[in-house]
Amino acid sequence: MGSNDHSKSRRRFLAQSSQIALGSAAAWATLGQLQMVQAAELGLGEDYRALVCIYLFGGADSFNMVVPRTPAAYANYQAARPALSVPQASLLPITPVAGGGGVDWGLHPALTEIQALFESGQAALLANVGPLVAPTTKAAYTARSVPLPPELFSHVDQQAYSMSMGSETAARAGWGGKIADRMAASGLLHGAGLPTSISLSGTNMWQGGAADGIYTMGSSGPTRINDTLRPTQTWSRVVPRRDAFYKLLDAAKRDSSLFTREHARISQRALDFSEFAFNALESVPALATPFPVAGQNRLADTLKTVARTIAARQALRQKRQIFFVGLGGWDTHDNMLPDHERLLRTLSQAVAAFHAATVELGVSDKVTSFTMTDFGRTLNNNGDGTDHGWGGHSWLVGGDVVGRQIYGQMPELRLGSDLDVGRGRMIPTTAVEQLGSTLSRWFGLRQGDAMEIFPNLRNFGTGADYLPMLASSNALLNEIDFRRRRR
Amino acid sequence: MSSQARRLLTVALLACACPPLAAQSLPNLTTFNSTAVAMHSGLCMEVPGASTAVDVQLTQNTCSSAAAQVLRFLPVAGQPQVASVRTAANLCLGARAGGTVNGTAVVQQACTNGADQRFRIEGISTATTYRLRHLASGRCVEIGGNSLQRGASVRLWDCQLPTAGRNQNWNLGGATGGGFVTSLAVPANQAEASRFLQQATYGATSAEISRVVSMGYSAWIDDQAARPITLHLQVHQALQAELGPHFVDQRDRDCEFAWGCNLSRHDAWTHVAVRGEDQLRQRVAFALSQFFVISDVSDNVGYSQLAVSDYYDSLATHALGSHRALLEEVTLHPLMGRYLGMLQNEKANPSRNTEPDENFAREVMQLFSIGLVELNLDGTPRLDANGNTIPTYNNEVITNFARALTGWNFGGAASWWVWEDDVKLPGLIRPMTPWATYHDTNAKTLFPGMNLAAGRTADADLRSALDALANHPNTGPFLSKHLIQRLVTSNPSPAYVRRVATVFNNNGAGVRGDLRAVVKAILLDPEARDMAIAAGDEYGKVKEPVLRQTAIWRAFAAEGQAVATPAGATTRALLRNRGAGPDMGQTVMSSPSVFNFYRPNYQPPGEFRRRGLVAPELQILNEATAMSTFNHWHGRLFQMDRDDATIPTTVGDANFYTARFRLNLSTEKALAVSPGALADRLNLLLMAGRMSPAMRQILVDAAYATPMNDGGGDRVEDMIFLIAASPQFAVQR
Repeated sequence: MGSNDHSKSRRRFLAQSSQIALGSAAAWATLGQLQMVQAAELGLGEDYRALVCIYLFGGADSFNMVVPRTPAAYANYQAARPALSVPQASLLPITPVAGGGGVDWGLHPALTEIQALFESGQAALLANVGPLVAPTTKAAYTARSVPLPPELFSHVDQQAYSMSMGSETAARAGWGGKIADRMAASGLLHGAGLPTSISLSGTNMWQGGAADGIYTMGSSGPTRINDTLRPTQTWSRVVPRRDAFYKLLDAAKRDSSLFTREHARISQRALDFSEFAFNALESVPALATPFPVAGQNRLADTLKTVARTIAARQALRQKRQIFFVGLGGWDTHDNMLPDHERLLRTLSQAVAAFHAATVELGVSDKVTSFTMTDFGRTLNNNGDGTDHGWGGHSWLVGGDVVGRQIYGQMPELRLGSDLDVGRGRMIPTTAVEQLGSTLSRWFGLRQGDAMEIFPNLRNFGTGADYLPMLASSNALLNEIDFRRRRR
Repeated sequence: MSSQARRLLTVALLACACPPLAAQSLPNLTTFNSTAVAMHSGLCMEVPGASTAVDVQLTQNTCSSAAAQVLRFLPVAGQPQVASVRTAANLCLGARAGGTVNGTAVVQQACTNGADQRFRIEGISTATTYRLRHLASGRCVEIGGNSLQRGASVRLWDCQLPTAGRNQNWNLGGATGGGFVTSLAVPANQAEASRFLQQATYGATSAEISRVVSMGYSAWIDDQAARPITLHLQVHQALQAELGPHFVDQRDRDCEFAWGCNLSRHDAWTHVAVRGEDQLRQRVAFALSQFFVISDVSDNVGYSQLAVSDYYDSLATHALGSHRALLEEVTLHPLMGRYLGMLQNEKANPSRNTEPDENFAREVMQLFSIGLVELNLDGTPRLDANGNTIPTYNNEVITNFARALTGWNFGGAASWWVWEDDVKLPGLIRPMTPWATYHDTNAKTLFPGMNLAAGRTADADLRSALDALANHPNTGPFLSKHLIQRLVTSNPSPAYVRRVATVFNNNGAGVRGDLRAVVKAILLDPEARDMAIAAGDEYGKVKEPVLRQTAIWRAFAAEGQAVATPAGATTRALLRNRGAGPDMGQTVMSSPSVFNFYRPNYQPPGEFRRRGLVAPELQILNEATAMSTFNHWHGRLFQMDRDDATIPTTVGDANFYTARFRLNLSTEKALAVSPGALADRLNLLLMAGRMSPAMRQILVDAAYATPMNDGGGDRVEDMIFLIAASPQFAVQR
């Protein structure tokens, strides 16, 4: 039946979307060249990259995640949150080769696996990152003499800002989605079988706005339609029903209600992609890497599906994948010590298993995972929890991460410090756009693309668009600089 | 004037046939002359003897086109469909001596331009037949005693249904083309009644459609509001008591943080949604549960499933009552206290560097009352001189509210630090009570200029804080828009929001926050009722997933099955609901966070975003949920039993017995031999008559292609599935 030629309609869909992108972005036509330079000169094999955003919904507390071990600094930290402080003796020491700011640091004892990744150079910390429009001092904040992100300290708005540099009420396309668009415009992704943006946590603003949309799958992977509704079904009892099902969907696309049309569009995407994606994931061997017991660690379950989707990249005909995975529960206003510990353990175990799976798949240097969150939390406390803050830390994990480093500046964990705008809400010293821009360059975008996607970067001065956290793009950018200078 | 009459007037005054986004440019009534023919008698209203004296009561007489029978209708500026009516003597129709009671004489009197000389011209069914509603009394102009005699007098009386009150129906030939709409007060047909029930209940049934047709909307709402509340906690406890002995796990038996008790909560919810007689109250409670959000995703809430049912009852109790009382009950519910940290929230303790938890203070403002930016009455943001939005509060305000709300604990707690295990159910549903020791008694400033002196009690501070929020000018438009979005349409016009918010601010009797009046204003508004407005492609909303389910269950009176328990007893037939939430992205009282399942301003990419439109419910529709929704419907409808009951009747684990249910389909099976009639019935019940001809044809063709197995059961089942799984059914318009 004509309406069920899913592969054809998918191809048509993708062709249309790439035309849209190309039409508006002829300037990026040389990007493929850049990729070839990268591949040839750096000796990379397969041209594949994946970004994995692990979003910690609710505003993760950073100050119990990375804690000073140096006695004076620890004393300040402990005084700020005596009821919540992590015992000094229980901290897992880390030995960053740079970025410690003269203080010895340790990780929360639940971060055993992340400690190991950090110490072995597979993980790095980006300190005190958060939403900023321009570099902000305490004096400028108090005087309101510097533009600030709208609705600081509000969950949905700071999620919106970290994902899209917009506010919730003035949503923009997310920077994940924009990176996907720019990659598509390069022509490099021609023929891909799925949208570049893949979410395992539903619709989200970070990937929102991409021309080819988000492909959303469940945490255990794509779901197929019931077999009685499949185009291959021949049982006469159900054939009229099946045929009518697709005809109704076609009619819905032309319905007089905008809502019905949109509902039908999403339903059609589900049908177009899911069988294909399901079969692609089934076609690759099971992972040998051990993951936490299924059902015990939701993030690990989900990241295992991400790993399977990476394993299936060739069957999916994808050279770039951008994943979004959320983990909720970080809004630790109360009961913080046990809740935060459980969440950190979940994160640590899941991230480590996932990284090991990318090693098994031989793509660990082509996959970079990173955490983001709504905001950091207050350094002081409300008795058994903390309230909404501002700056917090992000983790980066992957084989190409220049690890065992702390990037940015660790804040002084002292109430009333130069960064504290009240209750230990710390002004970020690195903008979330700098993280995004760096990852976009690693993913293969040019500086011009990054500057357009992250418009506030220009407020942060030369060089702010790239933090040297990833080996291959560090090398590539050095090479380009070298050539430019030679010329 | 009674508040009832004022409410009717508020609606009457604002009726229009305008497109939803351009309500300001109302098509005004133009001046016209006409005779007024009483429809029951065929006689004309006239000034007897062509009198020019004041206080002469009008009568009916044989139509003659004499000047004494010609009335001049003059529009009242700014009040569409409202006119003053002049006689040949250039006097105005009005109520004798300002009377407003039944039987008041309609006379000609000196024109005052006052409200007691204004009439709303309400279209009935034909192009030129109208009721004349006297604005000051809310009553209709009629021929007394339904008299057919010449000389019978004209008076005011309670407005009747058009079909019952033809002595109130007037043919105004001159009004043709005057820009009137047909009456919105009563459904024109069963389909319109069904459409109303999509907005006001968990789904239409044949019986309820008939009731709405016979009662009219307003009387139906009043009848619903008068019904006793069905309490979820009672149902939940009864189910739990019945299932308890069969649970394997002790915690399931005790209803402690247990899967079994979560299931029975959903069973109770389903039972009330499908069977509850107080449908309007329950539907509004569901809308409120997505505004005053708590979620059992949080352990603090999930631990206490029976108390979740009680929290829901708090919403239902006040759903058609006082907003201020609702806000206070929600604030003091211990589960809200647990969810957002107001429970056991202490004043600052400098020695431990603690400050009061700000969570509830922040969210009660951002989400439960006023929102982030100042609003106009119509729900649009107010802008400053530079065109920027104006924040409603800053973090300083949050801090002060947090301090004002310190010092509350479980009701009846024996000590400040007490666990939910110790207070158990009575403590988990009793309103929180204050502990003076832990309350911050320093002076506070809530909003600028709103100062609370030092030394006040926790109770007094709480009342002031809640008053400040309940009386804030944002509260009316903020909540009104939410309720409109949940009940009627995702993109209400600013004028619609303004009309409803106006009723929130004052129900006509000087009462603020009368939610019954608000709900009535929402449902009776032209933008809810007028089919011409509903024709727009941006009108309506995606039905929430659970509402799609309940619509199917109610339409066909779904029943669970009684089963034999391992002990040999037989259970009641329970309509159990399991597994829909994860499939369709919406589990009642289990949203991912306090920000509900979706945001009110979610814009899907593409056409919605280009046109500046929102579709909140589409935020939870994606490739994954679309697919699992298809499969859910398939599993639900094809593993159900039909009305010939052959469901397995024994299951070992009480958690899992009776996953299936049956639909009563005998009426539909009787229609299966003529698929067109079957499609029409399902269209009425499930789609309020809005099924497109193309869709109907596809369904009819499929039914003809399906053999009449099981007395037509295959055809019926297939057609219900096809509708249930369709994008067309998912939208309410």
